[in-house]
Amino acid sequence: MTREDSSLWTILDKIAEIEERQVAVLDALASGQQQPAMNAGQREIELRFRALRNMLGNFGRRGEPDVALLPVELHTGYDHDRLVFAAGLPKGAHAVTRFYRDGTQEKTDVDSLVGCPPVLDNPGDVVAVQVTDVKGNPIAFGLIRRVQHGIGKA
Amino acid sequence: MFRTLAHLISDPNLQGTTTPDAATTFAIHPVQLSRWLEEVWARGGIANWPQGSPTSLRIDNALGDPAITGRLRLPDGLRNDTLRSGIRPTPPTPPTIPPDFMPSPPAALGLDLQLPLPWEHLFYAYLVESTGIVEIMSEVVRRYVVGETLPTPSVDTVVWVRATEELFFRDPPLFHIGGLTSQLRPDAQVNRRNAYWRMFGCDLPHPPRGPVDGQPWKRDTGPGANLRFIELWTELLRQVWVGIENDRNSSGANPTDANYVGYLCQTIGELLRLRRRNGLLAREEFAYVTMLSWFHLTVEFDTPVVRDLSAGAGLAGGNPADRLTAIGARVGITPPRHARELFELADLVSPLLWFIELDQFSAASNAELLYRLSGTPNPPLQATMARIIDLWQSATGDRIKDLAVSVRRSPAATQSAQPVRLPAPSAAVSPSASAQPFVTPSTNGSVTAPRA
Repeated sequence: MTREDSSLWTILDKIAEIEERQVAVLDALASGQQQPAMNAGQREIELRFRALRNMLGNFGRRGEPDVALLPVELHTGYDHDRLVFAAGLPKGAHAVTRFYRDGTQEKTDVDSLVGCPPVLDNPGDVVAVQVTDVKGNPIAFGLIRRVQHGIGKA
Repeated sequence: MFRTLAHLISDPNLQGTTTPDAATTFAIHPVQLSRWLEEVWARGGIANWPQGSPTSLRIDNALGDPAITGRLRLPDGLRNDTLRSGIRPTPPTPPTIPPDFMPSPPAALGLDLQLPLPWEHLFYAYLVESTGIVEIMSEVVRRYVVGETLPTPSVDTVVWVRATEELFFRDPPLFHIGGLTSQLRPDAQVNRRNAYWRMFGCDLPHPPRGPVDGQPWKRDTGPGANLRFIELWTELLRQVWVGIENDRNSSGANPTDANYVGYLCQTIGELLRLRRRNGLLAREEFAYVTMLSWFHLTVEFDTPVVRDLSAGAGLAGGNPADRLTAIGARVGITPPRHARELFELADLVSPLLWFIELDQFSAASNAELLYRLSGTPNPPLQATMARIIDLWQSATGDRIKDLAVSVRRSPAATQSAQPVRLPAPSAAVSPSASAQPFVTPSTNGSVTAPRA
């Protein structure tokens, strides 16, 4: 990537951020709030902060449980794997983004998940998932546990 | 680390729905625990978790260099073969005591996650050790193994005493990642103080045990001590409080400056990362947070040793500091009166500092998260910061909330960064502690700790 490319991306990032903030302000005005709501990037940071706190064994203050982690299991079998959302999907879930070990990501509509609990076949080397609502706001973050099962052909 | 293990045993998906199983954690054989730590280290520690939004973040790993865990770990063949911990990934219900050894795959509990299990920040170890817990619990272990001055221990307590002595008061197995004492740095307590001094530029509030000549943990550190850390940290808390106070202003001036809050986060992150270049202090951090989490877990619940010493504080509403105080009374050591705040602070500050080191709050738009309600009733980050400010003010005596205004009017009122004014030297580990506010500088190493 050239220096010019890098500057261009930075400018585009800034423009995208300004647009997001304008949308947030308009949303807030429409809903009668004094403050704009968090944008998607801020929600992601907040969600990961809560998830890290859970990973370190903290779930909010006494009497105020704060669970941000979504239990997701990767069932590995002889001929195919399954990603199982063991506790189902949170209310308002619209899409699931899968983050792969190589840094790439892929988004899937929740409608394409089958079963109860929802299952995704052959998800690849996925390390984490994020569930977003219809506006694209992240609402849950899942770290994936590998579970070995003798899964046969579907 | 051990507190996370206790959670994983009772709740492998970390949903916070059950009480952590401290009893089973303490019942695991120390060699399995020691190997489990080796396995956790080998997977790597805290890193930036993947994000969906475009980001210009540049910090991917908070340990200085992501290669450090891989370069210092046991070779895969050894670790995954004869040196496996064998801790079951799905513990049986009810738990088997003593827990068994599972020789073959799958991976042990906590290691079956696709991302590495994080451990606490070094500041967690500093804050928990500031309660005097190491001195108190080491005296408990010493008394149990040399005589009968304490109430007769149950079998569970005997097992805890054995594991504690094996894991933390003797040399770890050769080539273990936690092996931080040697002929060159033989005193573990001095080594811990050295790490705290280098990373945060502050001493523990109580003097070291035994004959220690001067302050050897400060010798030969060169320019490598973050003497500005406490000054910057306190200023960050003040600025965040200004933000919280003025968050709901609908008219008039608002002195909140998101850019300045972001700048402070960026500076603190850079300061800490400077000490971590190429993975420096990573091993020390892992070993010390591990040790302190063991003792923290011991007093977090009414564990067998707590019950045997009649130091219970109840399951609901119980507090680690109350248990520690009752145990301390058994061995003639009084923890500082701010132990309660220090325990809670440790839990809250640890993930926050990791995020600061990962550059998550350096941008002004993200720094806003630390003080803004953002239209939600109780946003976790803002609530966490408000609680940290309350606890820090209470534990140190620094009037964060008052100074948030007065410092702005009077630049001359700025504070010195050194020494930190955490619990006064005389208040910790001293039966005759006075109730003076923290105004005197630390005299660590220059006085002898009074002992019962």
